[in-house]
Amino acid sequence: MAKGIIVFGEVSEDKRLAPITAELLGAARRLAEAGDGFVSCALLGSGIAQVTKEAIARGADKIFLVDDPILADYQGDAYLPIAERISREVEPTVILMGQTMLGRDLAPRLAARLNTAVAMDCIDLSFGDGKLLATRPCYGGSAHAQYSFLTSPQMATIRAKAQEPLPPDDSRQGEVVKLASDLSPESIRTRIVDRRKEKAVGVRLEDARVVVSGGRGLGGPEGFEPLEGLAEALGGAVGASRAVCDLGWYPVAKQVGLTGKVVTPDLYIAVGISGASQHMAGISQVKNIVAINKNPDANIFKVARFAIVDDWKAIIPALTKKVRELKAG
Amino acid sequence: MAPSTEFPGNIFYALLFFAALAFFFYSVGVRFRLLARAQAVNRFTEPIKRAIGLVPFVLGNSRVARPYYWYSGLLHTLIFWGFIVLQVRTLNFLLNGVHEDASLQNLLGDVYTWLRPSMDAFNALVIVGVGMAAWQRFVWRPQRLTLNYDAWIILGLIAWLMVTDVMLNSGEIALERGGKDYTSFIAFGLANLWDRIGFSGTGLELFHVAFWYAHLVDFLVFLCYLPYSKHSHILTSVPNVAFRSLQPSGVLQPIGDFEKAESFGAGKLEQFNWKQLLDAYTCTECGRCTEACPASATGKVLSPKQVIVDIRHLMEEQIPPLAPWTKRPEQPTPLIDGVGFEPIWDCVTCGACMYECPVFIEHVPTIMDMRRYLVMEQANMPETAQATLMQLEQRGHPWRGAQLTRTTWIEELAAQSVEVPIFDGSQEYLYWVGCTGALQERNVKVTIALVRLLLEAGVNFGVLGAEEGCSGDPARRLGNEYLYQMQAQANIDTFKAKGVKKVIANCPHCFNIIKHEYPQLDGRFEVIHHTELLAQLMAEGKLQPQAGNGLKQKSITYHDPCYIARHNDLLEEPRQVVEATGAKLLEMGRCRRRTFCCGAGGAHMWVEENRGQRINHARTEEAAGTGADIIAVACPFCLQMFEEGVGSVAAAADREMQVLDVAELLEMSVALGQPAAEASTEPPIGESAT
Amino acid sequence: MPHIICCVKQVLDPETPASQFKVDEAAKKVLPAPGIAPVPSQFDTIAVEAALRVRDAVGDTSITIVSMGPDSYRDVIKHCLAMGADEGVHINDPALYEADHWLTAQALAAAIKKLPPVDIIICGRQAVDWDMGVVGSTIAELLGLPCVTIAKDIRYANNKVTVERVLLDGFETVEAPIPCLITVSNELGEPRYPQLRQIMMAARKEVQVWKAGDLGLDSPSNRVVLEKLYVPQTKVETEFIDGDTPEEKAEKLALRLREAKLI
Repeated sequence: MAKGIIVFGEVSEDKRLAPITAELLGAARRLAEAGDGFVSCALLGSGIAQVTKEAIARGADKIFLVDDPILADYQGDAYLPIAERISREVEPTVILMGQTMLGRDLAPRLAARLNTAVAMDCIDLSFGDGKLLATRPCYGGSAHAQYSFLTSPQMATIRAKAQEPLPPDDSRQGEVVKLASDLSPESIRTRIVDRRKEKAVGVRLEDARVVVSGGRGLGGPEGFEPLEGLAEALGGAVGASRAVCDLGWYPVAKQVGLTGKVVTPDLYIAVGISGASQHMAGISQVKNIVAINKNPDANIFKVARFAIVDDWKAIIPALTKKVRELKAG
Repeated sequence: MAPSTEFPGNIFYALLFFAALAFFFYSVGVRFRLLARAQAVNRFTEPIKRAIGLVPFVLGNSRVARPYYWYSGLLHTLIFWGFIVLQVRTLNFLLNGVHEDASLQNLLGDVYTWLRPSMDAFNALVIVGVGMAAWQRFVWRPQRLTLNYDAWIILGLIAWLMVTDVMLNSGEIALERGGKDYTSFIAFGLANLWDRIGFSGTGLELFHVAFWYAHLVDFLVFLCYLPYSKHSHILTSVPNVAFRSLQPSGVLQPIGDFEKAESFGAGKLEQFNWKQLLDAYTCTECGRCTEACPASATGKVLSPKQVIVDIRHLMEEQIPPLAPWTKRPEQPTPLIDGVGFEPIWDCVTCGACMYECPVFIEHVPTIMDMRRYLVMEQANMPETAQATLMQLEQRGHPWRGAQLTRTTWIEELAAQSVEVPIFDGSQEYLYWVGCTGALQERNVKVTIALVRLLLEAGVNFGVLGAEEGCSGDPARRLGNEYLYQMQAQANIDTFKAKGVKKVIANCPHCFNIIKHEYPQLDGRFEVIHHTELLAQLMAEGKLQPQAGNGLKQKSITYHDPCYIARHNDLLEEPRQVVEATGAKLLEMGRCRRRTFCCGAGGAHMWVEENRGQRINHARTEEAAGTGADIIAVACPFCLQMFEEGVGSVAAAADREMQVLDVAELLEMSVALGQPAAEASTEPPIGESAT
Repeated sequence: MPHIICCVKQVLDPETPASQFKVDEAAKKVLPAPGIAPVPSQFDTIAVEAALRVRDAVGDTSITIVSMGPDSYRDVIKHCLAMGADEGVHINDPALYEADHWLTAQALAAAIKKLPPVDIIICGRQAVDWDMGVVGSTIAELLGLPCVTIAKDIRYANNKVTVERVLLDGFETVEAPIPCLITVSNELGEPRYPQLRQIMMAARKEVQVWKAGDLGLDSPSNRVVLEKLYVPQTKVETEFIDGDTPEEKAEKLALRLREAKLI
């Protein structure tokens, strides 16, 4: 008999419950209300035992804890058999994961193992009569698709920040079950050779999810320093309009526009950019543009979702500060 | 009289003469062989027209002696005409050397006698010319010249040839007085001088013999040196001009059968045609092409002269060396490496180089052949060029990120109750809008202005709307002939299916390609540029510009688009339209056929410039320098280039210069039947025109 | 000689102007915009590029393209052949036209089993229309292969592959034995522009066409149902953020962005 919902949670590098886990638990609890109300949370990793308390506080009724050095770094061949084992034992109605590096890799493979299917990168879920309805963006965000499932368990990965976590309730009770990994090193066919961190400022423009771009309104190359600060705070990349690349204020490799890069971030902040059509061609697919420009008639405002008519010099530092605040908290 | 008419002189003469001739023909022969190995091309069409052209271009030095190069023109005509005239004396000299009775004096009698003053005069004038050349090379040193030893050798040989001629003639006259010697007035004067100073007898004879042989040796050395020097142009310029291209300068030649073509474009010397190789042997290294080139002028690597000179050097590499100890490189330098990747991509195909070249070298097709090789054989091109080709292939137009469609402007006008007729074969004209005119917001304004004018004037036209495909110019100028042919063929098929006969184009690139290049694929249509048509409509009274439109107080400088001014000789009509608005027309220094490209030609609208100053900024500076308020254009690319330029170049931005198409200017000046729904841009119309 | 298989698909042009993007909600399909041709899915051509780079490094490599879809998908296969792939297989069966991701993976895996033994299967990380990102990994599971996702570099030597993966905040180098499946991301680089001779050769090349029956799929069925497809009502109404001081405006903006789940 199906027993509720399993959430595959994640632990962040500093060995705390990753925010996505709290979001998943919040979503699971809401869905569970229409079902048998039971939410389990699987946590895999090394040296992670201390996060179970928070997981329970955020909504888990039962924790499956697999704490083993072999799970220190995510590898599909290591996590998948354990995930499969837990899933087969619990026989849940729904399995949820985050649309994270782990979730992207694990969810499809788990779905295949369990002879079911998964809807990825969902932003909305609803549950009724044992049926899960998962809504997700597609066509680069231009459309939304809603799916239902013909097989069980019904699996979905959830986009970060799309679901609200529940406020932590320390009075909640939950069961913690410790499981052995039961993995032999030979069963892990891949091998991680090394891992390198890169500063967010080095993110490739074309791949960045957030881009902060500067134009002639910056007045000079020094204007890019505060922009770099903002980009770092947002975990994004810095771009530039053609005009300033020509003036040598910023490298040509960072040019956004028809003859520069066409970028598709989720968020594009245009600072001191007028919005010449050449530049607009580089951001024609961007859904969320923020424009900061002194000139109220600037063309960029036609496509901006949010706009501030003011001098960027005062806006950017304050914006950076607030963004850092929000991201930390 | 000549020392060679008897022994031992005749031996020397024969030896020298035949040895030199043998060497000369050998040198020419090994070079001619390279031409024989190259691709065929038919430059034998219209032989009368070709021959007649020799008169102004070769004899008349018309291109060499253009007013703005008057100094070089003068010195060259002196030396050139001197040589032509002095051939008579040279022939006489050689004949004389064989037998003392063989001479033109005997053959031509008085005719020869009365030629003698001009020949002597030219002896002096040629030396004057050489002096002018030396001054230019030694003191003035214009950048376009390559100051190498080759030129000095030639100048020296020429000068010495003149000196020895005068000297030997003076000796001859002094030794054998008679007849109308005074006609050779300089030699005569010198002969008198020898008499006066008592120079005579054996001394004078030796003097004569010495200068006789000196003259012969100089002449033969000169002949033998020619194939090794840039002065070979005196041999090759006549054929080069005779075999010049009779097509308009903006036309490229197609690759016939792709399946059978051995190579796409030129990656090796022998993949050029023989005329292109002949070009390399005709280059005089005058550098006027480079001086006119917009890429060179703004700090790019390209120098059109250097391309041709490099090709010549590569050809020389293939010639067995004279001295057996000279080593040729194991592998000859590949063509593309020899010329360089960057120069091949710097070219904007504006044709300024070809317009300047006095000997009709065809720089642009040569560079384009190498570009074709890079693109089609190697897929080796700058990133932006590659992205543009991908864009053209996938979306059928070059404007990545365009949010408009080919019918958005039609819908916009429909919303203003203006119905744009769709071409169905019943109309007189097809108005070909082009990719830029439909897909770029700024240019749509021009399309709309033109359509309003056409409707006002009652022109019977229609548009294709969504059935237009890219004309193929960007693909062709990027070097992708295959893609171009597919695009062009599709359009030609559409035109034929719909019964298109006459086309109005406002994009000079579309204009040029439909008019001159579609016929290569069997698509023959009459094409008129929108400025031509507008001027015509004004002349017919169908459009009446009023002076009271706020433009009377403005000054306008008109930028000639390369593709209609230089490549298609359309100069006056756009000016007529601009002047009809009542504004003051100011000309830039580089105008009309000497126009300076806006930088968008050769598909450079989409290919990044990585070096030096942006071409469009340089031209914007020039436009701003006229003091004009408005830059008038007649091309959608020029419009984009100047719009960017006036925003970036301080001299223009500070004065808030505007950029407007000729059609927009006219629309502002014409009382239209219906009110203009949206002002194109500033300036405000002073007094209401309606 | 190593054998690489790349799975590719065709999509509606993602750069269709926004005004032309329309959904038929009844049919639950995106309507192809008039005059705008479909294109290869971007990550899939990058997968082919990855295969070609292995060939550049290693020498003789045979590359097979597998694609599942209606007639127009032939163009994508031809494009990949023009880039340099050797063979093309087109699974063209109306029974599979409405396949979901699970069924697509099943069919592709069945096709791969029918082909000569493979060393590396390379797929795009996701298709640029549905953006799901499951087909590659699912194929790996169905074939029991190790799977490395989101690759930006693939090196093949000594019977194993060394893959550089893209992480959220950096990179990771992973070794995997062959045979294996790798999905690639755009950090790998631009797919090469086909040389004309390759284009002409590709035009002449035969593409094998297989049906569901050839793959042993007798009653192909989906596992998910598309219930709704619609264009979300995003207002591109510009919200001008006001405030008495620039700092106030900046703070308000940050909060609005947080509310909109953009940061």
